[in-house]
Amino acid sequence: MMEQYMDRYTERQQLIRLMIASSLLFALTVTTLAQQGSLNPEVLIRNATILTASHGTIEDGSILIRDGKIVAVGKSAEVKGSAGARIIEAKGMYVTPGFVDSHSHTALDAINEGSVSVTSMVRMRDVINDTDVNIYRQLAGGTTTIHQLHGSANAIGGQNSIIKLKWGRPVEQMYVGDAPQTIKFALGENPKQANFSIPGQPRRFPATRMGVEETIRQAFTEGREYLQRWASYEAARQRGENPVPPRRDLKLEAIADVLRGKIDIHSHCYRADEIAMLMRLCEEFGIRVHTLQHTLEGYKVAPEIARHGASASILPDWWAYKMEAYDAIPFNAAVMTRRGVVVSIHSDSNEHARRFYQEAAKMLKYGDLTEEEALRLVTLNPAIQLRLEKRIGSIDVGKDADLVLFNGHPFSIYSRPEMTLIEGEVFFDRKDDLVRREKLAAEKRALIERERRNPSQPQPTQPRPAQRPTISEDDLDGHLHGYPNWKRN
Amino acid sequence: MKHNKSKRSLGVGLATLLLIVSGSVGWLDVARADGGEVYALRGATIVTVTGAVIQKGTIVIRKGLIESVGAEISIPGDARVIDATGLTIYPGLFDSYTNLGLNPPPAPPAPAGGPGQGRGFQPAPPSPAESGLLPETDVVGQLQTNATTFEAQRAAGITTALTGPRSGIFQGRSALINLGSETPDRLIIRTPFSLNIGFSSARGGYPNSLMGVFAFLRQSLLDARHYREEWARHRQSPRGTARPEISKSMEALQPVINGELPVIFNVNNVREMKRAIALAEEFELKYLLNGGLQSYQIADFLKSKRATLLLSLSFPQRPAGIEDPESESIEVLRERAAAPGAAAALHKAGVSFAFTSGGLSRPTDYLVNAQRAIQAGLPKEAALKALTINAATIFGVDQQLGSIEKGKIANLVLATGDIFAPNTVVRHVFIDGKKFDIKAPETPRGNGSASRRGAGGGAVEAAVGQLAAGVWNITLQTPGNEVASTLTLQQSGDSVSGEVSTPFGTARISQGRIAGTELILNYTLNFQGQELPIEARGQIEGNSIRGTMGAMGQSFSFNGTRRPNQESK
Repeated sequence: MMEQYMDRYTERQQLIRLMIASSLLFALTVTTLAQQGSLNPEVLIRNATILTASHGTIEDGSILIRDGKIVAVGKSAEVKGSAGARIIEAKGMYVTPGFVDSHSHTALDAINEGSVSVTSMVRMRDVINDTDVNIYRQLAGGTTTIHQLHGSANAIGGQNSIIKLKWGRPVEQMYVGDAPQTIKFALGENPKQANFSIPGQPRRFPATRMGVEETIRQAFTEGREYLQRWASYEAARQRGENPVPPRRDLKLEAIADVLRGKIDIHSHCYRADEIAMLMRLCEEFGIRVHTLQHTLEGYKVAPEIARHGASASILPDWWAYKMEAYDAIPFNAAVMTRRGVVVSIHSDSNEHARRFYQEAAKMLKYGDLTEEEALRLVTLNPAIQLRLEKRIGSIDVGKDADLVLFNGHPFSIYSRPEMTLIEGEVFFDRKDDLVRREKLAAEKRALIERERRNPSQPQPTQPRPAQRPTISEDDLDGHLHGYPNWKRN
Repeated sequence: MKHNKSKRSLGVGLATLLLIVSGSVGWLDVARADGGEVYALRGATIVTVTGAVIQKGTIVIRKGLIESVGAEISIPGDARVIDATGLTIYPGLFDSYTNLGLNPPPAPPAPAGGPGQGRGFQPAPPSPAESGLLPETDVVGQLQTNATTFEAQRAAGITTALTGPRSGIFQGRSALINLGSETPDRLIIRTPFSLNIGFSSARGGYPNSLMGVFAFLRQSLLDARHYREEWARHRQSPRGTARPEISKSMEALQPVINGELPVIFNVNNVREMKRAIALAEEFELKYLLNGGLQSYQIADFLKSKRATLLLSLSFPQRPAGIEDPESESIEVLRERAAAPGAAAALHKAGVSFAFTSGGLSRPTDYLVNAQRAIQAGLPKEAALKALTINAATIFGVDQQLGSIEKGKIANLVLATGDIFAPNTVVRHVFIDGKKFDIKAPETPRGNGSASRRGAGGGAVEAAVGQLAAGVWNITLQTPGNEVASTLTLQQSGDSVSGEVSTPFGTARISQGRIAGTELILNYTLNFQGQELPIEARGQIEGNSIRGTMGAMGQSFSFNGTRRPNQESK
């Protein structure tokens, strides 16, 4: 009896210690943030090699950040901070802009509303999971901004969202406030459900590429009628009448905004013929495709894409994983770039989004892009595709201080990001991470021990192994079981 | 009783006699309509909740109400005296969110797949006939109760519950009921109290994703506003304006958008709670949050929003079958450790809340888990209020319920001591002045608390409900096709784990639980190279199960049976 009591006592003491430790850690973090944020608004990264992505490489350079913006960038001798500035000594390190992923499905609780062929009424911003550990992992790979796309299950999918990977912050602080609205379209095998059906279930319309085109045309037509309905209502009001306003239709409202140029089309596509089809169809309605996504056969119609005014976001070296992917070539990025198309490389994957610097490096091999051109594929070009090039994508005065510090040249297979900043704030620091791993492992041990002693919890079916518990990768950041990702959405 | 009735007509006397002889429910109703019995409960410790504790007090019950309460009460001559010396009397406890008294919903038919369905630009719009999308669904009319329906709740001291349909997006309108032994019409205290909303998307047709659910809700509320405006204009000048259509669904949403009928959002994690609040603010809805297991993380935020929580006491438990404790993520471990502290955090932040059982399969665990909330820092008085007067206030019935006061409904719990002490047993409850004697638990009391108090004592784990455990042969109905599958399930508390084996492959259950008699499983099947998230919901009755599986916007009904002699453990 006494023993049991002592056990419980000890356990409670441990728990209290744990809680005190956690709150201390929290207090420390807050203090650090306060120092970084309001007390010392200046950060100086000095003595680094700076790959600006816009105006070449600066050897022995420094970047001065104030209130989250880059206020000076140049030779270390010329860029100085004020007395109170936080100094990040970066001698021997390389600095790049934070990577921008123009096609991501990270940090979402759902990806496809695949029930019907037009779901322009759904919004990804309603289902963001700001606790998805992939945010942190991608941050650790230098990615700072992601375009969260609806899936490709249907011809017209949902409205996408753009967030910065401010790990630990609530989603309201992750939104990029002035980002444009975008919508996902999809062509080819996914919307026509060529590779997917459930036994016994009838097929959803459309089942062919012709049907996909018709679905989009009909949506545009209805969107145009919707605009007219509202226009006649406004006209009647102008005449002093008191008409009943038309019913607001969230689906058609979004289509109408596409037709008015308020929402950019980002369309999943593979084949040259369907790319040409969508561009033609959009021109028929007086609009243009803003960005083609995946674009595996873009090299076949690069001049046409450039003439239409679309940009292309691609998978650099993926092919043959399904019929419509057979004609892909790794020279795609280079060919389209040389034809005047703004090209970016995207991840479409939680995994690839951690290694944009390596994805870009491959493009030095395939097609002889310059180092800066290759870097732009994952920085400035995707920023242009998100209409955020005035804010992010390169290391220039006036832009957000979204920066990655590498321990070597980012295109070297031996290099890794050491630190990632968003708006001048350090959101990933490898040194801190290594320290935190120990703490998390200890916390986990304590939690398991507490449950083991707590009789209200079912016991593990097997005896606990005697060796010291190891911590799995998932645990480092408190991973909630994520939504299973689709391939190539 | 005979003495009480003696001055009445022979007919009533006979009826009373028959009542005594037959004990049938129908006759009890007659007796109650006649005024019920008069009781005097004497010598008890009375925890009034709203006033001071009365030692050796007396409560007089007449016509279903508390006629008087106090230390110096003269016992009326017509009262049946119950010596409650040594017992402690509490107001009846509330379970503030349940599906009690509702039969499992019929499995919805597989979506019609005829020609024309799903064609064109507007394929398969949300058909109003689809269940789960109808705000006019009402729990009244669905309630089916008899003398034994709520026996288990009464045995746990629970006398009043909010009950609402169990699934869907617009789940329907709820009712506050007393958990007596009569027909629903006599049990309902207040209806409708709320329109209940869930974000679950496992269904056929649109919407079948979380973002679809939000688009659907937003469009419905916009439509309700449009409907309001159309009708307002038509009523204003019937001559000269076209008559708008009448819509049951839009009518049902009018009190909601006018802020007269609150909505209850079924939400547990922080994101769900924030999404619900954002939607409520966007449409200026009155709202409550049901569930709230992660509310401790955002207690101050909830306070700033003046949110009201119906806080679940169904704490997450370690799923059975986890062989390596290290395999669980620290987040899951943290949540399990922190969940019992949610009530304390809300109390500290000043958030208004009442407790719910969250579908705990054993009602007796309700008080056990309330004790865990107390151990995690919730003051005992606050726990008691969350079970009584706070709930009554939230439901707008604090003039009738939630404390032991003159004139209130005689819902009382007679326990052997402090209801938050591990060895306390409920001996009697009164509901609407009617006395129910609680039978001793069937399992002999072994080592003190453990036998009555399942989740509180380790000794009981072996005896917990094994509603779902076993190997189930399942037949999935798809049009023109029957697909045979096998479920191999382990159950621990309300958590279910195991494996699904289908002709398309085998999947481990990522999340499984039991809510009442409903089995809810989530798993991901790798089907033709696609990750296919599936939610299955089924009602278990003995060794048979029936329900629906939802995947990719399709919904199929299934049924199955448990294989005999192959209890998986």
